[in-house]
Amino acid sequence: MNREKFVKALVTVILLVLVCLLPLIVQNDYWIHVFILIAIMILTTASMRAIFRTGEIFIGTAGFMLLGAYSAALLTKKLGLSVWLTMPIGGLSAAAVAFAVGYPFFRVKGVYFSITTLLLAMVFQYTTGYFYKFTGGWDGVRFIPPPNPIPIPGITTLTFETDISYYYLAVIIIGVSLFILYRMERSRIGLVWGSIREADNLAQSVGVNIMAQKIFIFVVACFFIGIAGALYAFYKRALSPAGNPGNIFSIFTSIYCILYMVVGGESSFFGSMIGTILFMLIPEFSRKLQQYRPLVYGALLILIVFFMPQGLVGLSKYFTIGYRKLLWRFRSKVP
Amino acid sequence: MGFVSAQLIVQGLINGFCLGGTYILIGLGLTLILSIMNILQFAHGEIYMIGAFTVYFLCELHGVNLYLAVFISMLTTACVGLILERLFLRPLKGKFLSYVCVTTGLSLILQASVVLSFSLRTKQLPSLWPGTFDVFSLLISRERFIAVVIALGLTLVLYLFLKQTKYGLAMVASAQNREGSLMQGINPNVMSAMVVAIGSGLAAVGGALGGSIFNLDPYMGGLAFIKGITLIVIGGLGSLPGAVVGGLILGVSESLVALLFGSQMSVIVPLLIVIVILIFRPKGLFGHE
Repeated sequence: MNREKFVKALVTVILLVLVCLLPLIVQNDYWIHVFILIAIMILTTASMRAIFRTGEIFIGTAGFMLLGAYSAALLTKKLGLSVWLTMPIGGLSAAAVAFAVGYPFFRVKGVYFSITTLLLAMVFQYTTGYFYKFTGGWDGVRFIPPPNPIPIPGITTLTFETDISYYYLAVIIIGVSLFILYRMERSRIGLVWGSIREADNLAQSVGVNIMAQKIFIFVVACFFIGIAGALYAFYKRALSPAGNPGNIFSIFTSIYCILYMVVGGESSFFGSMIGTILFMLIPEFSRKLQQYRPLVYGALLILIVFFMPQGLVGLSKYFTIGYRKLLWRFRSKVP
Repeated sequence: MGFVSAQLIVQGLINGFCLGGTYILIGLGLTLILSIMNILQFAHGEIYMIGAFTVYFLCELHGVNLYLAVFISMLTTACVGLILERLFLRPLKGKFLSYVCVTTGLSLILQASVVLSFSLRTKQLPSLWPGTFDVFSLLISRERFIAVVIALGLTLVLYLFLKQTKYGLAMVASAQNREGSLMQGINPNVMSAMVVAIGSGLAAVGGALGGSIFNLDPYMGGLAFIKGITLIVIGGLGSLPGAVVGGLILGVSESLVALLFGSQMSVIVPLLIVIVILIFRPKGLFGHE
C-alpha cells in the first residue's frame, strides 16, 4: 500500500515536472501551440465528462466554449476591461446560461438531452454569426488584446505575449480547474453523481435531489468550459463562429470531446486526458498522409472501441498484471 | 424585404414541403434506428451522401436513366446498411457511447473515401423533371413537386409496411417494447438488420432528391444529419407520423423564415422551435412514454 502510494506520488511529480519543462524540451513554437490547444481541450473534455458522470451525454461543448470566449473577448475589446476580470466573467456567463437552460433541458432525458444541447450549441453559433453589429458576425472578432502584464514589484513583470508564457498561464489555470474537478469527483458529490447514473429512482428515494444535482454539475462544468473558451480567445486573439471542422467552435469539437473521452476510457478521470492527448497528436503526426488522414483517424477510433472497450486506460491494467506476475514469479523461485 | 406577395408565400410553402420531404427521408431511418437499436447513427448523413453520389456516378458518369439510378442507389445503400449493421453495430451490444464512437469513425472514413474518389468539387445531378407547372398563375417547379411526391409516397409505403405486414408489425413491436417482442419470438438481430437497411435505402433516396435540387459535395451529410435529429426531437422518438409532421414543420418553417427574414435566421428559428417544443412536450409532439 505504501509502495503504491509512493509510486503514484512519484509518477505525479514526474508528470508535473515534464509538463513544466515541456517548452524547454521541445523549443519549437508550433509544438507549443499544439500543447496549448491540447491543454484547452483537456479541460473541456474533463468538464464534459463531469456531466457524463451523472449519465447524461452533453454534445454542446463547443457552444459554451463560444459563449465564454466571446463574452470575455468582447468585454475586453469593447470595454477595455482587464483580462484577469473578463476571463472569469467568460466562465460565469457560460455558467449563467447553463443555469438558465438547466431546468428545461434536464426535464428531457437521454438522447433527447444530447440532441437538445447539440442544437443549443448551433443556436449560439448562428446567433453569433447573425448579430454582426455586436459580435462581428461570421468574420469574427479580431485583434483581441493579450492578457495584461502582472507586475511583481522589485523583480519583474510577467507578460503573456509569447506562446511559451501563455503555455504556463494556460497550464496553471487548467491545472487548478482540473484539480477542482478531480476533487469533486472523488468527494461525496462524485458518489451522488454515480448514484444518479446507476439508479436514479433509488437515488431519489434516499433523498438525492436529482434535478438540483444535475443542474449544479451542469453549471460547474459549463463554467470551466467557458474558462477554456476564454483561454482560447486570448491565445488565438481572433475568433469566428464559422462551422467548418477546423474551427474550434464548430459542432465537431463537441463530438470530438466525446470521442476523446470514450477512447481514453470514460471510467477514469485520467482516461479522458490520455485520450485527448493521443487523439490530438495523431493529426499532427499523420500530416504527411494529407487527405488520407480521416481514414486513419476513423479506423483508429473503430479499432480502439472494438479491441479496447475499456479505453486506453484499460491498457494500464495489463501493465500492473504483468508487473504482479513478474513479482510473483521471482518470489516463487526463491524458496 | 418589404413586399411579400401571396405568390412568394406559396413558393416558400412549396419549397418548404420539398425540403421537408428530403428531411423526412433522412429522419425516418434515424428515428427507426434510434428507437429499435438505441443507436444515434452519426454515419447516417454519410449514407445520405453516398446515396447521392451513387446516383451521380451511375447517371452522370455512366449514362443510366435517372430514376433507375435512384432505384439502384437505394438498393446499394441498403446493402451498405446491412454490411454496416453486421460488421460494426451488431458486435457492440449495448453501450451507447461506443456506438457514437464507431459511427463517427465510419462517417469520417466514408467522407474521406468519397473525397478521394470524387474530389472535393461540388457537383449537380440532372433535374428530376425539368420545367414548371403553371397553376393559377403560380409557378411551381416540377422537380420540387416530384420530390415531394416521391418522399411522401415512400413514407406512405413504409407506413403501410409497418402497419400491415408481419415484419413491419414485428419492427414496431420491437421499437415499442424490446423485451416484450423478444418474448413473442421476434429476433432482434433480424429487426435491426432490416431497420438499418430500410433506413439507409430511404436516406439514399433523400440524398438523390436533395442532390438533384441542391448540390452534391462530400460534406453534405453533416447538415442533413443535424436536420434528421432535429426532426426526431420534434416528432417524438420512433413515431412515423411524428417524423412526417416534424419534417414538414422543419422544412416549412425553414423556407418561410428564409423568405421573410433572410437565410441566416432560417437556421436559428427551427432550432428555437425545437427547444420550445421540448420544453412544453419533453417527449416530442407524437412521443409516448
